[in-house]
Amino acid sequence: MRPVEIDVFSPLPEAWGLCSSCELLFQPANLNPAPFDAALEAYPPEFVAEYQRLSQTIRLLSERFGAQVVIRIWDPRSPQGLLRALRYRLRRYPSFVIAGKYKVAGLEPGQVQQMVQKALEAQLSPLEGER
Amino acid sequence: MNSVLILLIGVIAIIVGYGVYAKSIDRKVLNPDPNRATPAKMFMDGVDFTPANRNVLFGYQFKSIAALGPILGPIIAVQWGWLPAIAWIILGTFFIGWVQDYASIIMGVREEGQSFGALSYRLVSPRSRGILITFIYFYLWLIMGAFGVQVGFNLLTNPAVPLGVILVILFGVLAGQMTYKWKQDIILTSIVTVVLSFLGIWVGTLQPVQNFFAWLYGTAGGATSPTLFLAVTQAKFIGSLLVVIICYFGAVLPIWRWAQPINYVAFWIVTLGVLGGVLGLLIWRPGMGDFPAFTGFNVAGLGPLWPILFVTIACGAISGWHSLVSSSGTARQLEKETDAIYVGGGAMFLEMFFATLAFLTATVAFGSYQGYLDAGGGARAAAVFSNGLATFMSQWGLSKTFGVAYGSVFLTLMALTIMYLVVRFMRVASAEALGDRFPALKNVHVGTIVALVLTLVLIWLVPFLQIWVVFGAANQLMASLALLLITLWLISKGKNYLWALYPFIFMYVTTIGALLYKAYEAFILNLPKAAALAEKQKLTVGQVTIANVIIGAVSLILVVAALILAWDAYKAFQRYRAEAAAHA
Repeated sequence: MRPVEIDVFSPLPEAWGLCSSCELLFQPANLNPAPFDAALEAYPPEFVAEYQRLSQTIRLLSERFGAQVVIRIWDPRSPQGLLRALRYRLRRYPSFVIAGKYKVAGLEPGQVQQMVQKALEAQLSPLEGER
Repeated sequence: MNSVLILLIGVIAIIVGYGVYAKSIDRKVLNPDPNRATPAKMFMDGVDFTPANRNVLFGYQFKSIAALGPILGPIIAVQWGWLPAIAWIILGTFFIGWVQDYASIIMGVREEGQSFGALSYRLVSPRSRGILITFIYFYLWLIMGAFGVQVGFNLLTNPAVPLGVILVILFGVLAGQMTYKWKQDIILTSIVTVVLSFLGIWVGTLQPVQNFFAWLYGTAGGATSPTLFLAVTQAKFIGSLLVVIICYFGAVLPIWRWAQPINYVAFWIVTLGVLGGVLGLLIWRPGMGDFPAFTGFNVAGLGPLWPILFVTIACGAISGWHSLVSSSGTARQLEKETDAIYVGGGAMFLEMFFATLAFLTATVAFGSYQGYLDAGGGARAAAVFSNGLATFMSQWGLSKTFGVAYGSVFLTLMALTIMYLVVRFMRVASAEALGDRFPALKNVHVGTIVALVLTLVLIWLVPFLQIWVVFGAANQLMASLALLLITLWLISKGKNYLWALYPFIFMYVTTIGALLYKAYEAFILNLPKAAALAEKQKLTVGQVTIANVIIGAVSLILVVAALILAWDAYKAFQRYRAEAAAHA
């Protein structure tokens, strides 16, 4: 059975890795990582809290469904992420798109799990998915 | 020569170079195996080691390798004539550039994603890692100087530009507020801030605004900006101060508040600018007019064609920088070994195409060689690019004044994104190295100000072309190290290594030649004649002396580093050959 694809859309925090080239240049210098980590901690507390809840939701999905799902995370500010966000007409973040057809806007772990379950069942009986 | 013909030659080089030569090396020498586990799969941690789709990785690789280097290098190098510049862009990529980028990825993948420092430590010698770090420190300082001069002296001194830059930065900050604090829809945020940024650039070009900045710069009514000290005019002084003030905020404010959202808005300005330029070029299809194919072996301010041309154009032909991106970054995200040629080789050939477009802004946009010189020539490469881009975009009706301001904002934002982070790095490095002796350096603001003062020293004292050539040589020294590592790695694996060895020899000899020439020029040719040079260039004797001492000393330090590296590599080469013979 093919795994169900879960596309997760959310703005992602970037630290010094904002300039990937600069980050790579820094690596061989083996500097104290504290200032680099501090850059991530400086995001607004409510954003950090929501991001942590999102990470937890993704981890739970991964633990519950294992190899039955493939989870991809998109930042809607990247070209690929933006194109997909437009394609699925997403307005709120984070959002989840399951199997390319079931959409969950906002951080609703229970609803996401239900939709994944539905997509898995639809795969087992293709006709149901078309209903 | 017509511009479309140049583009066609570039396309043919891609078809033959990538489709035939690179793929044949890939198939016959390195034999990538799609089923072999890559570091991204073996050590997946969701941060450094993450398998990525090859198209996504291609974008990452290209974004990381294509900054100001492939734009400024070709524009400076056409001073030897258009033929040497385009020949090096195409042949350099064909025989050397992709070799380094692609092989660095494969080597990184097969060596479990080890960083370049770790690989040099193991394959060459323990001290080669120290040399790499020394190189990085000089490299960063030179980046700040080179970009700082172009932005502060050449772009922001145009009265139609500064307000546009300031407004785009403010709208970038607004994008951060809308995304992270107000939680607005990203698409709405993008549309609002990008449209406002375009309006901001346009407002910056309005006559009352230009009059204000002309008054501030002392250039009202077409007057020449008064010189304040050394060769720094009032306009250049304000331009360079604006650069360090923007960098100061970028280095001390949280990433989400400043650098990240401004970079996001800049992404759209840059992308739309490139598309607009290409469209104009295709509509116009200009020729080169009287732009000479070859102007002579020696170019004043730069030096002899060999070796200086080969360090003047680094990115766009071959750049050591790419090896860091390839080995430490891309190699850790490669999903399948067979993706390496597409990602590493493909992105390098695309960058060659990007460099060719920059080359065309210098050679065809102005209709003549004199036009190129009047636009600023090599010393004002950023201004040449923004003017050239504006000319291309004017072919589909965009106003030239707006186009020049747009091109200037485009380049300024590209440069600033890198400069913020370089300042942060310099601050962390100085706190670690000297923080115990001078505790004040551990303070974020003090560390940042020290880094910015060092930057101003380079901007105010050393002429741009001098900085650029040594910056290019430092970059190519890195390329030599990468090709050397690749050669040693191929030998250690018993594979054909000549396709990497010959490029290594060429790059190593050329880089040493360039650095020795710059040291010779600084200490032997220029210093004894400092007074005459100062008079000719309208500088002070002190400035000429300090500039040449800085350039000469940095060149010599890099030569010593390269010689130590070569000696260690020679011993490693002998060791691997002996091991190979023993196994045979």
